[in-house]
Amino acid sequence: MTVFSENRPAAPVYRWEPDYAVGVEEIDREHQWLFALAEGMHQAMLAGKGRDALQALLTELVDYTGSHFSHEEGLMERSGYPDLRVHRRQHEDLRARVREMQDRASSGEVTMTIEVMQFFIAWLKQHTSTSDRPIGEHLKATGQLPCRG
Amino acid sequence: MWGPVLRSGVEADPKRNRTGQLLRRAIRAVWRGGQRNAAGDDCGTILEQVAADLASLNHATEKDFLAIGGKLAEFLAAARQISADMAALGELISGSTGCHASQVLTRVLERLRETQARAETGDRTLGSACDSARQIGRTFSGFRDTVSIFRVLGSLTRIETARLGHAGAEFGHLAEEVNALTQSIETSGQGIVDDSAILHGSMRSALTKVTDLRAGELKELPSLIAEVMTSLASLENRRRRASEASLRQAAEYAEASAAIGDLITAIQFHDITRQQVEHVVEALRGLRAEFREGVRKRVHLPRDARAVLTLQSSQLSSAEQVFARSAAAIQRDLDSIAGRVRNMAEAGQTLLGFSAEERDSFFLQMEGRFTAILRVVGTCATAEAETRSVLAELEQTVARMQQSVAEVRHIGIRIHRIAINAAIRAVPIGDSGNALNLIAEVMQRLALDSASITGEVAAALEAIADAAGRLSSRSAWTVANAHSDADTSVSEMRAAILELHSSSEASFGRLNQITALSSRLGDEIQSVRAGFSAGALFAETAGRVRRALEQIGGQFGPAPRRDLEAPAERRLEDFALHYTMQAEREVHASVTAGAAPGQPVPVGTSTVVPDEQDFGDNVELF
Repeated sequence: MTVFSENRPAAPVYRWEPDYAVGVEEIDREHQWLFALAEGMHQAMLAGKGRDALQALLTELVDYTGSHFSHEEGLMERSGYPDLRVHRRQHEDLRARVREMQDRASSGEVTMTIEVMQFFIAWLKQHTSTSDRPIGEHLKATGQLPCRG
Repeated sequence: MWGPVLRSGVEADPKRNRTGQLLRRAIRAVWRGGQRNAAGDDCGTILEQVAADLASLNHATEKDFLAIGGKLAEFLAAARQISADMAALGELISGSTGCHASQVLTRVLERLRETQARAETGDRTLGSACDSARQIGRTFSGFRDTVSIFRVLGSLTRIETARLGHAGAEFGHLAEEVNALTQSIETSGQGIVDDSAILHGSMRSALTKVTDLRAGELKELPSLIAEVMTSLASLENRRRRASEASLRQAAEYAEASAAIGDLITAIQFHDITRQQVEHVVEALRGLRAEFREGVRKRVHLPRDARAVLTLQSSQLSSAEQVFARSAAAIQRDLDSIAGRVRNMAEAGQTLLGFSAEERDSFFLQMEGRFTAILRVVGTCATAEAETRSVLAELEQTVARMQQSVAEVRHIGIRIHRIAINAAIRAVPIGDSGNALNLIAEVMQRLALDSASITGEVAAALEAIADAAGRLSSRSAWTVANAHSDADTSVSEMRAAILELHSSSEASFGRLNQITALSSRLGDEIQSVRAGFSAGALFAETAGRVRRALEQIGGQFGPAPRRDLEAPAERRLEDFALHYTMQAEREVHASVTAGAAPGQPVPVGTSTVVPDEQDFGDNVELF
């Protein structure tokens, strides 16, 4: 019985955990992708190559959060989610902050990877484990949870 | 997560209850004095259920141990990763990279101090040159009046010459000459005035830039660099304190790795127990076949059935003891590893002597300072480039003005000569030439005034040229290949700061990784420990099966007296009492302990089960 191989790669530091599940498959998948983005940035920073990955990360964040937020907001609108306004404002705040960071990076400020990463991780954990969870609960409670598959 | 896995298999198997029912039915039949063959048939069915129970147990424990082994291998990889991360972090903050960081910052500081010194000198020099330029403008502002007077004097000369008629014929060309020179002097003088305005404007602009630079970024720079140096020193102090702690941590992680490795070996040892159970299953299924055959042929049950059942029960008992000790050791090891890793995770959180929030804030501040230094470096580079451009423009303007001044001086000398000549020629004319003589005197005085003005301007221009020259010679960036030198210097400073930033972000990442992996490792080991119930499952199943076997064996009456038994049966009993896979374990123990090949430990010479920790991991040897 061979139970292990010593050459296993280390587990990622930033990974989506089942505890973060909102219950809406598509949203959860999008959150997983955001964690994968964070892990990619973390790996680049470990290698001291965070600056090379910074622009790509911010561009991806702007694009992806754009579609992810639209998706979330659409779901909230259709389901009559009571805290839609508050949630939308949180999305707007993030969009504005990411755009501001993107502008700074575009104007040549490259030594901001730690700031971006700290902000991104704090937001991501808060967004997935606190902000979005009530959406899933609301959809479940109102019987509007999209069918899987 | 582990509970359901470990409780799967036998416990969840409905066949287990079926075994109990069949067993009870068989026992009732025998005790009621039922047909022996019928009882044999039932016993065969029970044996099959018991064998299936054991096979299922084997399958469940095999699956669980594989899962636990896989999980432990992940822990091992994580523990090794943490050790490697700690070593890398140590290198980042204290090794050659860490030492290099303070050298780099010192070099950047020196460069920027040079820039600051140049800016101070430039400030003074440009200020003085600016005063000179303003003075030139003021000096030459009255020159227009001089030129007008020259022009008037030329007209008066022409009028007086006309009044004198033939006697003044010789002065006519002098008037023309003065007029032409006046025109030239006016043009050159205007050029000087214009250039002095340009000179003053550009120098004012350069002065403003240098002054702003000194008052702004350059003023902030020493404190900024001091802050970064202080942060690095603080990091270094913390690192010194953390160094010992991280060494201890690394050693503890190495010990944890070794403990996990030992645990994996212990789990592999389960292979022997699994094989032992397989043998029991095989034997019971063989016996069941014999039971069925006996029932079919309506003959007596196998004569040695009782001995076989005793043997298998003994095998199971041995396996149960070994498994129980092994499972208890695994639980103890998991407890110990989980506790150790949890403590290490807590220590890792404050490895640098500050909390996670303080650490985040520390790295953020460092990054902000790097950004600020880069901004100053960029501003200095721009200011230096602009200063270079102003100096080049200034040198051109000064050269042009010097040429104009030389022309004015030359014209003044010529006018002076003309005036002297006119005065000399006016003497023979007598009283009629008094007016011309007066004009000549005024002209001489004006020419001398003009010479004085141009002398002052020439001195001022010389001072500006000298200042520009000194500024150029002080600035290493404005000598030969100035542009490329300046660019290289700025590039070097930028590269140095960016290198420090890379090192800083890598340290930040490493610390995050160490903290996250340690914390997760502790939690997961704890979770595995909490879900580990294979020992209880094995004991419960093996105990139940042994009881079933003993009860079936009891159907064949009390054990025969040893002295009356057939030799073959006695041998089988002895075998049952002494032979278990313990023999294999003993041989394995002797091999791993280094006993000479060919000297196996005799079977049955010892019933002491060696500690499973003594076994190597090559259990497939058997």
